[in-house]
Amino acid sequence: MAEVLFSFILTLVLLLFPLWKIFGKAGFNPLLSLLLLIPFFGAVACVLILAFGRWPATEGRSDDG
Amino acid sequence: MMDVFSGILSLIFALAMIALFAWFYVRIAHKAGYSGWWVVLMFVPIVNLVMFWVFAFANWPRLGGGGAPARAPQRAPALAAEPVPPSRPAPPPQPAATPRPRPETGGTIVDRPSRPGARREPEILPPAAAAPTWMLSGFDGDGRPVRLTFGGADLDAAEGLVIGRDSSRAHLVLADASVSRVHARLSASGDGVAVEDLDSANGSAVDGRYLESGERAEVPNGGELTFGDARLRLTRG
Repeated sequence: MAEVLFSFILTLVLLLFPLWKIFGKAGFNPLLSLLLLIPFFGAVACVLILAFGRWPATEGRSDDG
Repeated sequence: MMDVFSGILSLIFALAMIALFAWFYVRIAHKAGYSGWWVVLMFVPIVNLVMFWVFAFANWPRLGGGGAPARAPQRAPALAAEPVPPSRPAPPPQPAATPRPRPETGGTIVDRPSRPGARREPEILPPAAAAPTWMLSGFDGDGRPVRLTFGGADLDAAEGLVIGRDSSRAHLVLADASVSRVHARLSASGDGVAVEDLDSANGSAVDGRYLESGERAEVPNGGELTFGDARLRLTRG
């Protein structure tokens, strides 16, 4: 039990926090990073959103990618 | 024997997954304004975690380096503006990437489109014909110079002139990862040129203003067109 809790907290700190920042910077709602809490599929969903979604932060900018 | 077979199968599967995710990561890196080569580091244990944090806190070049996104559309600076180099330390080797745009004298791509369906081959820019000719010149997302020419008559075709990365479907080809296979369409608008975005992944803009889905916008002579990361100026010849 303690092991599960430990890995959960580790994931939260090591991955969720930067992902929160990344979603925020890209202009998405940072709450989307909570998808990461869904095992496996959540992480894939986060990657897909960032890779294929239009980033609101760069929307309308002349140097948008 | 079965063990060897299933081992090979799982190896192929693992490589396919790595390639798939590398592609996703490259897209993300490009969107943030970084070289796709950074993704190599995502497959090194520990380093990938560090890079994930660095990426989260770095000032992304695409956001102008300030971190805070400007909401108002900005007019693009001069076309010759240098791509912003990655702000992270110790970049990995970039064999394919050109860090700075070369002067337009070298490696210029000249692609004169013909009617749709016909075979198109790049050729030397012919002398100005009687019909007005147009030129799109500038740099693609990797800083390579681009020069595309077309005649006013080419715009009158039913499907106009398609711009994209796929040479089998586009009349004007931009070999740039940020450009969709079929990205935008140029068509005649009175005496000038109009552009519409064909639901491209990274959008098309006229003078810095991004087109809505289905919107057709006129491009003024000397106006700047953005397709993904490529920025081209339209001039009448």
